[in-house]
Amino acid sequence: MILFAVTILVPAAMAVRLSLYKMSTFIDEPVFIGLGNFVTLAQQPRFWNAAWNNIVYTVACVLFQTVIGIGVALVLHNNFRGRNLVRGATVVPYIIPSVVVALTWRWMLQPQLGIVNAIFRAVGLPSIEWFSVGWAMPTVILVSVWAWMPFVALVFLAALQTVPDELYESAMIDGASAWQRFISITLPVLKPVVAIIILLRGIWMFNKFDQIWLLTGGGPLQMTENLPILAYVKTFQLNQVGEGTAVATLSLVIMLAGALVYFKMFRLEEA
Amino acid sequence: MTRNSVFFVAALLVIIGIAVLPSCQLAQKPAVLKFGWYETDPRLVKFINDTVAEYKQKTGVDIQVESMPDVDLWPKLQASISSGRPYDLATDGYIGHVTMLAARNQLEPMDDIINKFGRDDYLPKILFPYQDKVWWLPYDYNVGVLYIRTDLLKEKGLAVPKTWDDLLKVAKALTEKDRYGIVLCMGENGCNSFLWSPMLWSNGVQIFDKDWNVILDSPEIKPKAVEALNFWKELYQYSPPGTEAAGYSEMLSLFATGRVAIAPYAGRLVHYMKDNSPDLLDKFQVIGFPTKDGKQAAAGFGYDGFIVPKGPNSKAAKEFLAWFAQNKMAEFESTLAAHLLPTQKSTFNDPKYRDSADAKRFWDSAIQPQYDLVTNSILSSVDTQGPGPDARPGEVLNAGIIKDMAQSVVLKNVPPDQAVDEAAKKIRDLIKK
Repeated sequence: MILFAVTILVPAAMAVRLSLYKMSTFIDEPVFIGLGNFVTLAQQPRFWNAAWNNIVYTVACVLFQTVIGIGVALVLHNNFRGRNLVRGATVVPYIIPSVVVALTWRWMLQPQLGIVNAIFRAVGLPSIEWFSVGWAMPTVILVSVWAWMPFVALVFLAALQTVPDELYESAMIDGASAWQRFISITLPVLKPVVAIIILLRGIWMFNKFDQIWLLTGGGPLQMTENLPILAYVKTFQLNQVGEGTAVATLSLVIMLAGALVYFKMFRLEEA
Repeated sequence: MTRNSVFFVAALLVIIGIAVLPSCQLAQKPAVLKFGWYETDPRLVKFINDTVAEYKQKTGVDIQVESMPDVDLWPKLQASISSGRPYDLATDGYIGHVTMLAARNQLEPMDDIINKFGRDDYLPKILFPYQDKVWWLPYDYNVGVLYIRTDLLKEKGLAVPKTWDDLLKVAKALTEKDRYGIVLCMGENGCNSFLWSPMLWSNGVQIFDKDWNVILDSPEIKPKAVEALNFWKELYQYSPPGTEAAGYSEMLSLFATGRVAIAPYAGRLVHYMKDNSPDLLDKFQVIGFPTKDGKQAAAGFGYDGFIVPKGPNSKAAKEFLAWFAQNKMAEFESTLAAHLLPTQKSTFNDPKYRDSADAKRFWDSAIQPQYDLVTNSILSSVDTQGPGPDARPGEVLNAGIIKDMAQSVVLKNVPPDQAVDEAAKKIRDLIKK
């Protein structure tokens, strides 16, 4: 309990406390202004833009990671030659450090020098401006899905391996199609795992900072700026420590509210 | 002696021991100075590590260099000051930080070190005196310039551009199938503000008047800003697509790989080419950003220096800097001679700098042109706008308002006059805070 309080509660409480103060830098004496920082944020279009980007990024990432993750897990669950090699290779994106993932993709997608557009050009496809106003958000989603889908696939694969083969065999004898077997056998097994995955991935994606920051810096024109990036920019670049911590506090509140609603909708222990 | 008395005397001795021992130890063992260092080029990291080792050998003073990127140093410096154990020395490239710390009585003035050389020894604008004192020891200029491929100009029979029209013509003429005429840094980063804003200064744009009023949207300045934005947008058609996320590294690569014929950058590009594409070293020239009429040139004003935060080791830290300035500055700057453009006339004339291999090789193509721009051009940047050194223009830079202004016109087709109005409003709101 003491460890929990010292390592989690106290820092969180201090951050929340700072959000109630006007403070330019970490050197200044903070001045208590109550909810002033929150009122200021509510009046800033930049805050609402970041909140919206956060939702779009989180929902899209979790959706694609889950759907593609289930697909990959189903493929890897089958017997085929070189299965172990493919399973091993699938995990690679997940074990590469985030910084390496972001910087590697940034160069691969660089419109002039990157290998992706070079391949596109070689096969006669038009180049894509991956970090343009219209493409920046899909690009950061694409990279996040690439990096984290393997984790989701691994968890689903583990769940699939708990299903006795006899169930599938009986269903096949009864004439069930592949789709019917997926709906009636596989999906019910995966349901609790899906619920947990959505919760975990939702929290992790909502807090994502490093990959987006390294890929686009939140740009262009704040098109990919989410709440963690806004909190960082305000605290460390704009010398608005109070407002920066207020963004972080609001982010925490939104996430807690989301998690509570989620628990209410899907009782995990019953799922 | 009773047992209680023995205990009392023993306890007293222990207490005295605890109180006195550390100070004895301190007296015997000099403190280790902490040096926050953001020059991450391996050659500069090696240089400073060798230098502090040499200093230790001479004086016994131990200096621990903590190397980190510039963006990490400022938060760490603040945290160290709030914790009561500040870095004893640090590099800083942002006069807003310097004035902010000086205003809060957190910095040691550097006048005594500067005065040994004389203020006249320093090149224009670099000392940033604030409240009549100099609060840092500058060691280089980072001049935002244009690099241009002279071999391609010759091939096309073109001259070095001196006016906006020239620049547009050259960018157009040098744009071919696999090459773009120019690259404009439009990313969400400092490169954008630093390397686009000289176009504003070249047209006489100012953000503040002498009383810190925002005049960007005033009847006198706004048309100039609109003109510069229109010109930048026109130039963008000769820039490779996809530079919305481009930063310094993309600028380096695009020029060094020959994908662009003109690139804005500072001195580092010379050394990047030396390391990565030496065949280009005799095929480029550094020039300033042309003005519309070609009468003068403009350049981006970047800079770096050392600061000494107030603390228990300030005196020792300043002694090291005085020694460094006197004995090591020229050698330090010769490490990357075109990148670390000296701030002192005496360093320019010091054979250790002037006769170094890189200085000799790049004198005409890169060093002399940068020197000329420092001494005779419109030298400015977002963070040095206004009547004097101050944190406010730095806040404008960090808020990315000037960057957003260019991005919204070039990438989102916002009318330039609207973009200028929006930028001016944002600056006023920011300053009000």
